[in-house]
Amino acid sequence: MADVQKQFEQFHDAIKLKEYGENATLREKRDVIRTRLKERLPKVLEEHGEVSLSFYFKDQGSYEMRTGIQPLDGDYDIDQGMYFAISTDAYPDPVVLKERVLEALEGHTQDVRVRQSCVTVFYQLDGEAVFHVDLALYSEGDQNADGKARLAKGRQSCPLEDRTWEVSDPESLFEAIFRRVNGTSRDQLRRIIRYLKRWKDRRFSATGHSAPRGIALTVAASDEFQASFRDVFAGKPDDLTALRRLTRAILARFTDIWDDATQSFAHRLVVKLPQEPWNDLFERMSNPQMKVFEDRLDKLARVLDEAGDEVDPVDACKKLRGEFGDDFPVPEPDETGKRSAPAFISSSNSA
Amino acid sequence: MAAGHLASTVLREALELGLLREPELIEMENGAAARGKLLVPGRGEATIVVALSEAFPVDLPRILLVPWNQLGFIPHVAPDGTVCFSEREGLLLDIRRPLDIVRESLERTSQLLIDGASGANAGDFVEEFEWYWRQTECRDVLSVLIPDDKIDRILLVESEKNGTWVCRSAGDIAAFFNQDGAIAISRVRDGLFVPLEPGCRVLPPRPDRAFWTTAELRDKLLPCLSPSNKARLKRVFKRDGPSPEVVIFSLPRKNGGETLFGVEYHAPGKRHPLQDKGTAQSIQPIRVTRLDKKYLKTRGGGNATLDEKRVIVVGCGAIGGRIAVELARSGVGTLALVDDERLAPENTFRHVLGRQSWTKYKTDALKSEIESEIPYVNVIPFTRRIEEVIRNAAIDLSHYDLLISAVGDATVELKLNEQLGRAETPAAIFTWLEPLGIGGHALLVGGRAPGGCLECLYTSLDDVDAPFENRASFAAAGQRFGRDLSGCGSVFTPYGSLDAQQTATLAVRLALDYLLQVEGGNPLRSWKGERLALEAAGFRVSARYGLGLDELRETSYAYANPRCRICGNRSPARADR
Repeated sequence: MADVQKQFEQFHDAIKLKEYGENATLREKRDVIRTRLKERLPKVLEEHGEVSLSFYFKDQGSYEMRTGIQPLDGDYDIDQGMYFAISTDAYPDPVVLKERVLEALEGHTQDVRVRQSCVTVFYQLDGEAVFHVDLALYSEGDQNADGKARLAKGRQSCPLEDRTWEVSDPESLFEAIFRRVNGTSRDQLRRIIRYLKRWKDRRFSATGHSAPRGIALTVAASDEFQASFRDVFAGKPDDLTALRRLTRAILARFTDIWDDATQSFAHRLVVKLPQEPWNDLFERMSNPQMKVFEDRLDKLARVLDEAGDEVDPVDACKKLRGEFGDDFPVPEPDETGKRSAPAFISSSNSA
Repeated sequence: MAAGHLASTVLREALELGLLREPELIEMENGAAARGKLLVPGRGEATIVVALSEAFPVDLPRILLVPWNQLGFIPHVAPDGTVCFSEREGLLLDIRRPLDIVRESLERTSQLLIDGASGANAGDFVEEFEWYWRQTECRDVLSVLIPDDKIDRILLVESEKNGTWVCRSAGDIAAFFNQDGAIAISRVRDGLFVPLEPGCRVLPPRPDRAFWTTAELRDKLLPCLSPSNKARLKRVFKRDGPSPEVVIFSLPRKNGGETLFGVEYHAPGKRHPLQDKGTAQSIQPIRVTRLDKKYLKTRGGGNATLDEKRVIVVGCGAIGGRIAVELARSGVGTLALVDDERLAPENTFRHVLGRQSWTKYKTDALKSEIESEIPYVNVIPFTRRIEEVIRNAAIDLSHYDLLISAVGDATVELKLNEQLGRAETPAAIFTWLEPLGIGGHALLVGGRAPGGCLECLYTSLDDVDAPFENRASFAAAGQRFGRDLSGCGSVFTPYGSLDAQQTATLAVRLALDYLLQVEGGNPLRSWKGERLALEAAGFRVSARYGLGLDELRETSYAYANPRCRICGNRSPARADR
């Protein structure tokens, strides 16, 4: 088996999304929105004759989990949790609160929308989306009788019964996903999740529900992940083997599920959120979309196997590039050529 | 003033609470004191004095039984009346609650007096026996005899310069000093060692009376002999032989160990004073200071079972020198030291030896340092290179339990690794240090499990053409550390001595775990230091450095490599020696 760990790590460096601390642009955009809401929201509420609300922000999603990747289309997304010190009773219709937030942001960019689980601010450059900020609004856990935080769901077009406060706890989700692994294994899991997300971005269209959600791949990976090392003692990981095993394990999890609507079986992957509301993260994918997903995943598994069987790293990397794109490096042939190892080696031993 | 104020305030509060009956304050210049009574059921009341010094509550209250013998001769009460109600060692006082300290002191005293009056704690005299014995007008004797359970003849060796010793033979004294003829002997007399039975109750001599007569001693101690020792004692006196002028008794203590004490008979009569109706002109108590191997090694934290163990230390540098000293302190009985270098002045700031040993061979200097400082250890120097020692079979390796190599030269150690690992060779520990405080390692080879050796560390798991590098290293492979950096005492690393010490500690712990059969496998143990100095010097750490402490522990056996050309086909695990 060729050793392509170096190339996997270079690939990871290329696709990894920098954290706020290292990414001034994203941090600025995030902070502009935070500041604007702090200034404008109280006025908006006052205009509507509603009581002033105290709230705070939290980074969420792949930033928080450190599983974010560089977008292919340049559309970065910033996930922000906005926690209000109110019980859900304060706004029985959560869409009203979302509209207040929307109003506070209007005029900030050309495009601000209330979406099912968030309020989204789109930034554009020359008509192209450059990034968007998803604001998820929460009623703080402490404010509710059962101590659980709730997410404001629904949009203006929804009937009233679909506008709900849904139990949601992104902070403990992080724990649930990473609790199984530690240290170098946890680092490997993060890399594997990023590889899968880049693969997804390349293989599926971003619109509609044809692409698996990032969180769905993340939870599936965390469920099935087994750390793999080329040399566990020396701390040398083997991402190719870990990814091969994981892909095979996810494929093995597809099962025949009875679909009442079509009165037939559908081969589907079910991955549930490991906490309330325990929903299937693939539920929005249609059966035909699921079939495409399975086929492409199967293709990925075959390519990973072939790459693993290659002896020459150059050939292995060419195969991998087919699935992961040009960010996956292919070494020059002489880079990997075998030279006779030196017989004089410097040693760091002393006594 | 403030402290004195606290003492009197607390004492007044204690009296107001009625902790003492019929209390009356007593003048006390530096503190506060009161006299009063404690109830002792069955015996009425006991009069005591409670004194809180200026240092109270850091110092415990002093409580005296006045007069001291009003309840008879009872344990834990000194002739001046002081009641020993608590040992200070191992005690933490909550000085924020001074009144409770007084209350608890009185409660403990009360319990001791009740138990003393009823005889419930008479067995405690055994534990305090030595203290009472030392209150007599006794002479001092040093003892290197290891107590056992049989009556036996012993020697009393007198030296004008070095005091008086009791031993079974002159060899015991030589073992203590690690050399023959260590003391100039002026006189040798005969003595007898007499062990008493475990669990026997012996009342110590009363401090307010004259010391025992020969008859009193017989009455008190001879009933405490086991039947077989009674028979042995008779045989001792039946045979012709010198009359023992000195008798050393051993009194087993409740919690293990024993108290030694003795008597000297001046001008014993024809019938020995230990025999019925035997006499002597006079009898004098002897107080025994124990210097025997069993006592020193168990009391000092050493391990008596290590006494039989024999260990070779190869390389007596910054790490090896410390290993030798620590093995001796741990109680290992025999050490062979292999090194052909002399201690140079520039070694001083990292070596366990110092200025006194400059220009001496490290082996010889370590031998004299260890043997003069630590009793009961035999150090054998081999002032040659290990390659030569093995080539000439200068050491019979099969006579040793363990070899520890701290040579600091991977090439030599890989060769040594190849030569060891056979049934007739001992287990080995290889230990080394990395530069700039990044860490150190100790690897056990040929322990109680098959597989795993030094060569495994230099064998890639899956790549035949991989460069020859140490998979355990915390510094990334392929970097050149110059001599200035890789030596332990480099000018660039002020922690050089500490790094060597930490590595030696790691190696000695592993050695003891192996020798004491705690360690059943062949682990590689590492300590991981800070990376700052290494990176500041422009070097990189390895992937293994990135492992967390848990991961390092979990993978400590995972280095073993089935592809290893040395141990890959080697199967037999070592039978326990």
